[in-house]
Amino acid sequence: MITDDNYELYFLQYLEGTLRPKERKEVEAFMAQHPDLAEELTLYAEAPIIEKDASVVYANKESLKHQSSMSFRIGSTPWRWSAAAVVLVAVGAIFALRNSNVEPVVPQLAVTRPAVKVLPIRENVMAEEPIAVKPQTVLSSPDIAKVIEQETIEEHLEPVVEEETLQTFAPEPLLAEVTEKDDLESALYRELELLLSMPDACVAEAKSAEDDGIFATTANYYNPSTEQMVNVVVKGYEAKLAYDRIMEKTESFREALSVIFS
Amino acid sequence: MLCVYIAENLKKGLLNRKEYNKGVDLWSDDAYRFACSCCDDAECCKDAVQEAFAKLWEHREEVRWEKGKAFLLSVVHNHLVSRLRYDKVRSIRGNTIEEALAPDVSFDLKEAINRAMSTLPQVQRECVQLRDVEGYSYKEIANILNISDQQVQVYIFRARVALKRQLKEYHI
Repeated sequence: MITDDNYELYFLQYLEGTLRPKERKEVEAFMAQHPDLAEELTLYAEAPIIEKDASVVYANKESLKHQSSMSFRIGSTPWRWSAAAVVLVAVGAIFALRNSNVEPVVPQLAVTRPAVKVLPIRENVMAEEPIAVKPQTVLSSPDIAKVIEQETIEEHLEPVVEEETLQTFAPEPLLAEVTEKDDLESALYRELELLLSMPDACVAEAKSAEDDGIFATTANYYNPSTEQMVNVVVKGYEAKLAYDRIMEKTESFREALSVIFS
Repeated sequence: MLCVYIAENLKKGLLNRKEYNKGVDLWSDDAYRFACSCCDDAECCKDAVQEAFAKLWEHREEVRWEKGKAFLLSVVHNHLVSRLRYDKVRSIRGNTIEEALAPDVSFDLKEAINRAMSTLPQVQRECVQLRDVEGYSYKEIANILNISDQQVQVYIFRARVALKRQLKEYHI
């Protein structure tokens, strides 16, 4: 029933044509009884539509934006670490894949770099068996193999599972200078491509973790041209995609390695 | 496990940093305009927009992209309501009907509408702004302002009637 308290709602719906025929007749009867209120229908219908004032703009948009962070924290919760995957790819594998008919490595360079090893993939992330790599087989250069042998190959070939071992494996990393990334060509991504393009790069370590809802991926590799370990970290949404890409590439490496060393 | 995590988040359509920054470009003007439609204090409006984006960033993993703008406007509304309560005045904008109808002021239609709008209660101005400028449905406006959609319709009806009444005073 239409009353003085609810007529506005009926009037609006009457004008918008959303009332049923019975309700429309009720509204018309109400208007006949209350001509003073019926005037409001006319006023409403004649009221202007408010237009957008394009001159009103928020001036300092950049101050509201967030840039990607290069900081990296990994929680200590076991399940988070269980979610993290550790992938180490020996450059020997890359070497073997890419240099079966490529120029030999310069011996002087081989002397200055650390030993090459492949660590087994964490079993809770990658179900396949760890890959055992024989550096002598991987590296086509006898000089390099000799150098590696002098650096206690057996020790390096031991399966590494514990995180502490992984952390002590890499030298103190150099945090790469990385600026804002616009798309998937993120720091990690570019560095990864660089790593994969280097036939004599040494070790790549990639791991990913989530802490307080923030996803992060980090990768370490040895750059022989600078003779330094490079640690690149990407945090946030891009990290997820970068990690996915790494895993795709890693899978292809694993397949290639399984063929080579089977 | 990681693939599942990633897939779930993508499926939810949650905001990442890039999308958030894109939202700044797309929505900051609208949020600021919405604030200015209810409040003449530019600093207060800027504060409201800053707070809105701060909260959007804070809750970026809970807010879907298509709901981002409505989320911002809702925060702006709450900020202005808090300010209104703090100021203990009827309207943040501060104009009285008498001021709006000051006869010695010359103005055009746009100015007349602005003046007439300034005399409306805040919630009515917000409803009209969200309806006419932002194009939201009654239900969407109700969600942003946290009132019922019937209230929204009543407020819009009252606002338009009052607006036209005042414009008639200007012979517009």
